[in-house]
Amino acid sequence: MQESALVIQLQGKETQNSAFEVLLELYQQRLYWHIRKIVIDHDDADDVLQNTFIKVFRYINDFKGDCKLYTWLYRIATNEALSFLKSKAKRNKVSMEDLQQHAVEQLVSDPYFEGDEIQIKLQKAIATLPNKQQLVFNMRYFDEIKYAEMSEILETSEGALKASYHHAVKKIEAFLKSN
Amino acid sequence: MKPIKKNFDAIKTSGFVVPKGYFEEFSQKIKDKTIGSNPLTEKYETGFSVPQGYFKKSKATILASVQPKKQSKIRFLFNEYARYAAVAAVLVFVSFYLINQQQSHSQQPQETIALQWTDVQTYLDNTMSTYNMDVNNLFTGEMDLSAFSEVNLSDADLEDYLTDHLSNSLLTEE
Repeated sequence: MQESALVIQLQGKETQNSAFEVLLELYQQRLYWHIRKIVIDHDDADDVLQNTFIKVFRYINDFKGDCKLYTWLYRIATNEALSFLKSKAKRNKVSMEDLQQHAVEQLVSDPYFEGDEIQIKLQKAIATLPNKQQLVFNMRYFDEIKYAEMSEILETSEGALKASYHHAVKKIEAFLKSN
Repeated sequence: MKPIKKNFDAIKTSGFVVPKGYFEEFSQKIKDKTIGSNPLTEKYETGFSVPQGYFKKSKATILASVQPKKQSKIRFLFNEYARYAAVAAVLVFVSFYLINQQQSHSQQPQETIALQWTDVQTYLDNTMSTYNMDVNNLFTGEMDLSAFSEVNLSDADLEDYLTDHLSNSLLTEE
């Protein structure tokens, strides 16, 4: 189904429910992994994923089509994940950075982490980056999202994103070499 | 300038030799020296995993959250006429209650009268102990006046009689 046709069905009263199932089928896993890379923990990612799709359902009629549907979904997921981390950090009276560091430290004993030593080190390295740089790195390195698409999602220029990615890579390399 | 002849056979027979497996090991050496110093040139996965069947469950949960619950058909236990019958029954009950209340109120004065009459009788019996006449007969509808028809009493005699047999309290009672 073409994206434009899906949007029409999502915004139609009679067709909304069935179209939403299609949307879930298409984007659920992609959004989950994007969220998971931000929040690290599976249960947290599950919460954020649900919140994301509930929000999508609620505000689908506000989608004007000025960007791709996937871009819009990704943007909602990103904002929900960051808001989740912010409120969790506030509840625990710690900074977002400390919260993420703690989450990465727990990966060793996390039943839903099957990576090796280098992958744990990589996650630790990513956690040392500022939030936006983490996003850029994850989206470019793991998801291989094009800068043009990333620019739409993060509402940042391609040049800034490229520079951000370059700095992120350098920091991670330095971290991995020293650890 | 003469073109360079691509004569590989000539190179082979130049006399130079290399250690066994040199070229096979060479690529790995280069990799270690380049990729080894820059781990990100090799693509790694995140290492994250999910519980078995997670995405199926998650989809069902999300759909349940956003889609309204199908309302079960409401079936009335009683038909429409039965509702009217129920209202009528309530009205009848209320009417009976009100009537009963009214009856209980109207009964009370009769009881009071009966009580009062016995009290009067007792009082009169006590105070008019020498007076043999049954006071009840004074209030009956049928009065035997035959005894009075043959008696000629003057007012003075009557007054004397009354003065002798009735107590002052009765006479002065208002």
